[in-house]
Amino acid sequence: MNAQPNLRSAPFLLRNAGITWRALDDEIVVLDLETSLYLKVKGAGAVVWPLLAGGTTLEAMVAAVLEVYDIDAEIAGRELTGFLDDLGERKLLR
Amino acid sequence: MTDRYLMHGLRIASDVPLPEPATSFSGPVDLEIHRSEPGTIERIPDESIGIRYALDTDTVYYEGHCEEPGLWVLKAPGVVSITLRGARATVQLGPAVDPELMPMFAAGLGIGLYMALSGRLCLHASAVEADGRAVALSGPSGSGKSTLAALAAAAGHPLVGDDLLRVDLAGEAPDVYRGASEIRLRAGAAALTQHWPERSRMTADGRTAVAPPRTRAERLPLAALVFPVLDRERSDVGIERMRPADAFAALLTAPRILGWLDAGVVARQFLQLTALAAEVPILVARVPWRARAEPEMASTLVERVLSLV
Repeated sequence: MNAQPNLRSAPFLLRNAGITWRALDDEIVVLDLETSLYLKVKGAGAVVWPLLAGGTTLEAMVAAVLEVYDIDAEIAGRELTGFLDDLGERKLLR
Repeated sequence: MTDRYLMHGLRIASDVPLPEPATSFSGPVDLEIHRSEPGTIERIPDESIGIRYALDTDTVYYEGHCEEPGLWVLKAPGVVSITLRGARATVQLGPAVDPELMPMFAAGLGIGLYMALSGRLCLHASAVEADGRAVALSGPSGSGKSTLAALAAAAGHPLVGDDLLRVDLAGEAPDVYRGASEIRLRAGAAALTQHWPERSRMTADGRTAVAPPRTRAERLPLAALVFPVLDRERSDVGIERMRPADAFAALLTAPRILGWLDAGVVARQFLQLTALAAEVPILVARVPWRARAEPEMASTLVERVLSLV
């Protein structure tokens, strides 16, 4: 029996408190009020950020990135996983 | 004696003389400014800090805290303390501080603190008028914004304000308000007084204040905000528009009162500065810099800014 969660369909959601963000052209600027840190998110991260704000899956994020960038789905998934790990380390995800 | 002033779109009653001609009006005021007798001005305990603008832990430019709801105190230790209770500011100097400096602190830190806490966006910037719009110059102390504003004024662009510039984001496009009537110049730029020899004076902190012709408008649409970079190697003005996210990062250094730790003010400034970055061209201007810069250079700068926006 496989106890591993299915990452492609597991939900990802931004922390709902203490984060303010705004899209500026094709980039996102973020204020984490708990750490008083500002972040700039660009590229694929900026594409999926609005999805993360409402709650999404890796599968949906990969699909969104493939609509914008002409890259392989596996590469997109790997890049996004790294991005999600980074957000997790910054405690920006629920 | 209390005088009344109209500056930054505010109706101010102050017994500290402000760098602005006093005027008369009836009715309520937005802000009262009062002076207090000199006293010892000590550091604020770390546990209650709500503002800290410092070079390091020992070198604090100013710091502040909220003593109780509606009561904030901002201090430059040993130098000045501003107590703001609602819309009433009291300015107190340290015992060894020249009383002539009180107007500068009242007009800068005092009004800046009031504006930030009352939700108004207030930048550390100078501005001149061009074609019915304002071109603002921002950047840290010593970046050349006041000198460039004075040069532009000498080239015929009326002054909108110096040091503190209120931006109103409530309308369809951002406006700025006319501010103080004087520009404070460092020693290196004091030669600019030649343009207004009758309207110059020495200040208590060793600068030269000049009062060039100013705009007649109380508020003007903001055409662009420029961060000047003085460059001794350049021979011409170079201007580049910043990407909005980079512009936002640059604007984080632009508020008149820096170092906010209060979450409510930080969150509000985030919304204001992202709106400004989205709605107004934010430019970097590389400016040829000589020992004796000429007004024509500043005029070229303003014209090139307007041609880009």
